[in-house]
Amino acid sequence: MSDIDVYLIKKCIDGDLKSFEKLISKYEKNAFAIALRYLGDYDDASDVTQDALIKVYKNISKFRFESSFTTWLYRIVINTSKDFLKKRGNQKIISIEDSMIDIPSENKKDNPEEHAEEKEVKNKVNEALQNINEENRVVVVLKDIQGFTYDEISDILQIPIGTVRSRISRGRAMLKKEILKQNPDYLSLIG
Amino acid sequence: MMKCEDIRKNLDLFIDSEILSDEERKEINAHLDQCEDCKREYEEMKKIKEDLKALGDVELPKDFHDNLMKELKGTNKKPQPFMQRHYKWFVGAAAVMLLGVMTTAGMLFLPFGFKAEAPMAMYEKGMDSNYLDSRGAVPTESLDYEMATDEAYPEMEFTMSEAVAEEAFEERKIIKSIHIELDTQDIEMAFNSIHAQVNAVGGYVEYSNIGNAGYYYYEETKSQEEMRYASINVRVPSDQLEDLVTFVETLGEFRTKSLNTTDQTDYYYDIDNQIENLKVREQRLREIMDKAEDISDILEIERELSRVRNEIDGLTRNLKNIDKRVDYSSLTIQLREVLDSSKINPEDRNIFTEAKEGIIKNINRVLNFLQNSVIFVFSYIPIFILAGLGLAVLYWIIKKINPMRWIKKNK
Repeated sequence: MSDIDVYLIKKCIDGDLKSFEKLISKYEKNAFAIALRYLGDYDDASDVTQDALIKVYKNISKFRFESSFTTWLYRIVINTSKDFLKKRGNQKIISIEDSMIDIPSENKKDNPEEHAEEKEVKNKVNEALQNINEENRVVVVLKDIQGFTYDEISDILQIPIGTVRSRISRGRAMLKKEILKQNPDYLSLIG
Repeated sequence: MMKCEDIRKNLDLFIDSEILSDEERKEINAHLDQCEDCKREYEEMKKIKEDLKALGDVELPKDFHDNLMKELKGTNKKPQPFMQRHYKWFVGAAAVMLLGVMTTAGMLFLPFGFKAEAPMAMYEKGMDSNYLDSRGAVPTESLDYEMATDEAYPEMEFTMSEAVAEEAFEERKIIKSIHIELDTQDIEMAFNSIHAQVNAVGGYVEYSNIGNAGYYYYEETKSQEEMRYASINVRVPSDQLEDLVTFVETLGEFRTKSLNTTDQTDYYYDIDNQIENLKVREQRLREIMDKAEDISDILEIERELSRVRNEIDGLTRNLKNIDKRVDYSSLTIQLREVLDSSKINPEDRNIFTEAKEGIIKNINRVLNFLQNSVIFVFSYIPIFILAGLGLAVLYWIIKKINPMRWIKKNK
C-alpha cells in the first residue's frame, strides 16, 4: 500500500470527504468492473458498487492497516454483490446485451467492423460467464478479468488457496462448456 | 515424467504463472511441445483467458462518480464535535454580538461625532494605506508563479535538447531547486510523511523545523493562535524531484510553488579547462624538475609545483561541489497548519472579518479622537497664554480708567 493511500485513509477517518474522493477515484472503475461481471447487469452493478463504496466510507475507521486497502475494498464490493444476489433470490434476470455495457472507447471508433466483431465475442463470453455458478464465477472474474494472484483472491474471498485453485479450474471448465454450447465454432479458429 | 493427466491438472497453474517450480514449468513446456492434445487444451484455455480479460475493459456509468459523491455528502458519517456541527450558529452569534458592540460604541461616541469628523477622515486615509502595506507584506497566493513554473518545464527541455545537439559531448550542468508553500490540516502527519518519503527516495533532510507560528503568520491566521508551521529543506536525487513534489502536493492545498534552475554548464567546463591547463603545466614543471641541477632552481620549481597542485585540488573540489548540487536537487517546503477550510465556508468568514475590521476601525477612531483632542489642547497653549495676557492688560486698563467713575463724573 502506498504512503499516499495510507495518508488519504487517515484523513478519511477524520471525516475528510475530499481525501476519500481522491482515494476512491483510483479504484472505483475496477470495483464497478468486478460488480458488473459478477452480477451481469449494468444498472444493478452501478447500484451495488455505489452501496459498497458508501459502506467503505462509513466503515473506513474500521480499516486495519495490516491488510491491503484494495483487498478490503474489493471484499466489500463482492460481499455487497453477494447480498444483492441473495436478496434478489431466484428471479434471475437473463441477461444483458453487452452493447449496453461497453461504451466504445475512442480508438475503437476508427474501425466499426472490428469493433462489432469484438463486441460479439465479448457478448458471448459474458453470457456464458453469467451461466456458471456464483462461486466459481467470482474467482474467474477476479483471476482472469481483474488479474489478481491466487494469494490475493484467497485474501479477498477469505478462502484457502487450495479452494481458489480448484474453483478456478472448475470455473474455467464450466465456462468453456458454456461457450461451446452457444457457439461450437468458438475454438475452431485457433490452433 | 508427467503424464497428460498431471499436465492437465497443473495447466491452470501453468497458465496463471502460479505456485509451480521452475522445473515443473520446464517439464510442462517440454510436454506441450510434444503432445498435440495438451497443446490444444492449453491454447483453448489461453484464448478464453484472453477474451475474459477484454471484459475487464469497462467504462464507469456516466454520472457514477458525481452521484456517489452526492450520496456521500448526504451521509452523516459520524457525529462531529459540537462546535463543528453548530459552527454556523457560533459565527452568527459572534457577528450579532460584534454588531451590538459596534452600535453601542457608535451611540456612545455620537456626541463627539461632529468634532471627530475632520481628524477621522484624515486618519482613515492613513489607516487604509497602512492596511494595504501590512497585507502586501504577507505572502499571498501567487497564481502567476504557478503558471510560470508549468511553462518553464517544456521551455527548459527545449533549450536543453538544443544545446545537447550543439555540443553533444558536454553534459548540461543544471542545478534545480523548487520551493513549495502548503496549507495543511494535519501538519504533523505531513511533516512526518515528507521525512519518510525523502528517505525512501534516497534523499536527505538538511534542515527541518516545526513549531508555533510566529508573529508573522499570526497576522493572517488571527483567530487561530494555536496553528503551527514547519519548514523542511531537503536534497533529493534530481530524477526523484518531480515525484517527490507530486507527493508533497497531495499533503495539502498549495499556495506557492516556484522553480529555480541555474545553468552552470559554462562555468563548469571553464573550470574543467583550467584544470586541464594546470595539469599540462604541472607535467611540464615535472619535466623541468628532472633536468634541473641547481638546488635553488629545484626549490623554486618545487614551490611552483605545489602551488599548481593546490590550485588543481581547489578547482576539482569546485567541480565536485557542482556535480553534487546537480545530482541532488534541493526542495524547500513550508507548511502551514490551517483549520479545515471545507468546514467554514467563505461567506461566514467574510462576516467575521468584516466585523472584526469594523471594530478595529472604530477603536482606532476613538483613540485618534482622544489623541487629537490632547494635541489640540497643547498646541493652542501659546494662544491661550497670549489671550490671557491680552485679557489681563485689558482688565488693568479698564480698572485704571475706571469708566464707571468717568460716567458718574459726567453726570
